[in-house]
Amino acid sequence: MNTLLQAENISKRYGNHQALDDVSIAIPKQSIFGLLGPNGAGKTTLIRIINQITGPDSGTVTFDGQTLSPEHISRIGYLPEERGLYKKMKVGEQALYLAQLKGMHRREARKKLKEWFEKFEIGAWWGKKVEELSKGMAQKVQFITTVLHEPELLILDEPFSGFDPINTNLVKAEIRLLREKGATIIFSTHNMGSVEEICDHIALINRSQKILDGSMKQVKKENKDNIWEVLFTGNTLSFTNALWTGFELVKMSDENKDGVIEAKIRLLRNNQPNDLLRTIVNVVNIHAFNEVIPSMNDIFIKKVTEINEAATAAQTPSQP
Amino acid sequence: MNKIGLIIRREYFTRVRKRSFLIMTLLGPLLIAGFFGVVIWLSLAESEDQKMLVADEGGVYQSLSKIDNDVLKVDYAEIGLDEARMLFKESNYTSLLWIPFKSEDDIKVKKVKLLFKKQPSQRIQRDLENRMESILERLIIRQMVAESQIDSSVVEGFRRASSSVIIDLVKFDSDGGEKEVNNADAVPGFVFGILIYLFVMLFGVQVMRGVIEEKTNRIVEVIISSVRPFTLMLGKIAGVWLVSLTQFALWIILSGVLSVLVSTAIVGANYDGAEVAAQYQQMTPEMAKQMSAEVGQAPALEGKIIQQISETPWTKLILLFMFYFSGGYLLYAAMFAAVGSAVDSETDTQQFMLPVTLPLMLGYIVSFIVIENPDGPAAFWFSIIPFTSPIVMMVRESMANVPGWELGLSMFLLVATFLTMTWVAGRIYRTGILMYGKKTNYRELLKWVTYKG
Repeated sequence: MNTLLQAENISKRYGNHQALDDVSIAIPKQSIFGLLGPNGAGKTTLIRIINQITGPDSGTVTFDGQTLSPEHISRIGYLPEERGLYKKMKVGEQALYLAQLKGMHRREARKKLKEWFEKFEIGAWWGKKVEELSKGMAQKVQFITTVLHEPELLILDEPFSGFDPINTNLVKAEIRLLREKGATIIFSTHNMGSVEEICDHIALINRSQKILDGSMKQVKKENKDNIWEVLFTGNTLSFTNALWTGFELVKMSDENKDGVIEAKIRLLRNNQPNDLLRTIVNVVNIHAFNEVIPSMNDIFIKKVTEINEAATAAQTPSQP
Repeated sequence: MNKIGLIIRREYFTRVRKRSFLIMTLLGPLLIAGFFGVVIWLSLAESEDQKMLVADEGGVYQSLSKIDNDVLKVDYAEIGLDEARMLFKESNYTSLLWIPFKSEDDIKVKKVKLLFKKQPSQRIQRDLENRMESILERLIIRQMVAESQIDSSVVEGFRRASSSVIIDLVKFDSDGGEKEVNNADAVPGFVFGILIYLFVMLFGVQVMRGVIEEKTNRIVEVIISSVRPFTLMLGKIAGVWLVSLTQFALWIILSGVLSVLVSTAIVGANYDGAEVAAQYQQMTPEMAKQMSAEVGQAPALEGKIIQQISETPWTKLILLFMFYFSGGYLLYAAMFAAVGSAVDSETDTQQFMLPVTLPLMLGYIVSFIVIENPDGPAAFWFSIIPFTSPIVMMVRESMANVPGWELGLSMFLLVATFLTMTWVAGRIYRTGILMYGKKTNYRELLKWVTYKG
């Protein structure tokens, strides 16, 4: 079994609001799984169902082959987007308390905490109250309490918010390290840059439905627009004329200071990249030629806009 | 340690370690002692201020009755009203009693006049009324004796035979038990009732604050990914409950120590209150009653308090207090927790606070009615209804022997209601703690109760 967590046909309704509509996702073991979607799409509801904070109206969740049950709580670590600590409580005491709630023994928790505090260089904060900490410091403490019990499944909702770039890298490195040690990570964020950087699987949820999922490579491949980028020098008019049939010039820049022009061309009909090269090779001087791989950001925006436009169109009554 | 244990421990220790807990623990008994001290002092203080001039033109008063006592200092003068007025104006007398009985006809008018600079208390007015009645009675009898030539000693015998009947109110139980009824019996129950009211308010609000704190701190989502929301709510309620019991136990211990210190100080200062009390304790209750009827209640006040304290069934009342406080607290704490979960900040609690605090206040107000009539319909119903029963039943139980079935029903309903309320509150809580930035109304709350797991 290569799937750690499988959610099947999950639906959840709050009063008149359909939060999740028949959503299924499968999270491979030891993957970093990006759970993406615009605000209010239903990500948090899905995460809460996985955390057993709330239950689905219909659908099933299996964890490591078993139906999800309270005994799995200690095997899951959750860092919510909206997070905080008891302000008046001391850092060490609070971390111990949260670790014990996850089922750790006090002594073991204390030992592990000391190690993590050392690693994150916040050992001196053990006896301080949380209200005396800066936001970044508190976030570090929060991250430690999430991963301390070495959960098999780690759910991180916007884990980098509140961190400066240095600490962001520190946490990123820790996340990768945890994955190497065997953890599976669900990573929910709006920051597509970090998704590109660390995720290997993603699922995109929009308006309570899953609209896209798969491995990062696969998703990108499926969403390629068949656009190629050409850097060239030469006559733009003859370049444009050469593309008369079988190609679409999407975009062309002005000459840069070296006289190089950048053009994006979509292949139409069954044209292959070689056909494009053949067409332009005698017209201009080619400096570079490569495929345009869409960024996660592009895919996200494209998919979400497509769906939302379709939904709006369906709602407006058409003329007879 | 299991999870609810961990939560209770945290809730308990973070509160007990707070400075405000220490301050409350130390100040509580002082405030209570101070409160009762002020009450007693005020009732005693009156005696120093009251000084009455009796203008007794006919000279009938002094010969018949002496009303000089601790409450009232009295001077007599056989002078007319006008002369008395002049004297009253320039003197430091607080009141002027004019008795215009110069002739036999005056007596039949049965009217005297009391002028005052400072309104005398109800007690003194009643006292004077009784006294004047008895004076008139004697004067009229004396006249009749003179007219009909009966031996005055016979009349005196009749008079003594008819005077001052004391009714011993005895409650007769269905199972044959008898208990003397005394309004002062209500005092311990009333004090316990007020304590329940105060504690439920104080600690119920603490539960609510705790819930709001967790919600605004946003730690709640972290915690309920480890424990069920219901467990968190129960743990908080139980933790605060233990804090309240600790506070109560400390108050009792401190009050005990304090009262020992105070009484030692009083005895050391040779205060005759203690002496009076000692004398009073040696008397039989009949003698005591006779004495209070004849000389007024004031000198016996300390004695009465001591007698009341020794006659109160403390064990029963404290056990009942523990039960009704806990039941009432658990019921209201669940509601307070639900309110806390439904709002984003303490300022938003207003709209939900009234329905929670109103029944509690009602119980407090009804307990005044219960003192007047401990077996009436109001007393019955409000001591059965769980939202008011904790306070009302305490007062009722300390005054009258409440039938076993009523007590049983009241207790059963309280337990059943707090269990139901905890369940309902749990459902509101579970949804409420994850709702932010949305104004909640009652319809919304009702919807939350019906949401599926």
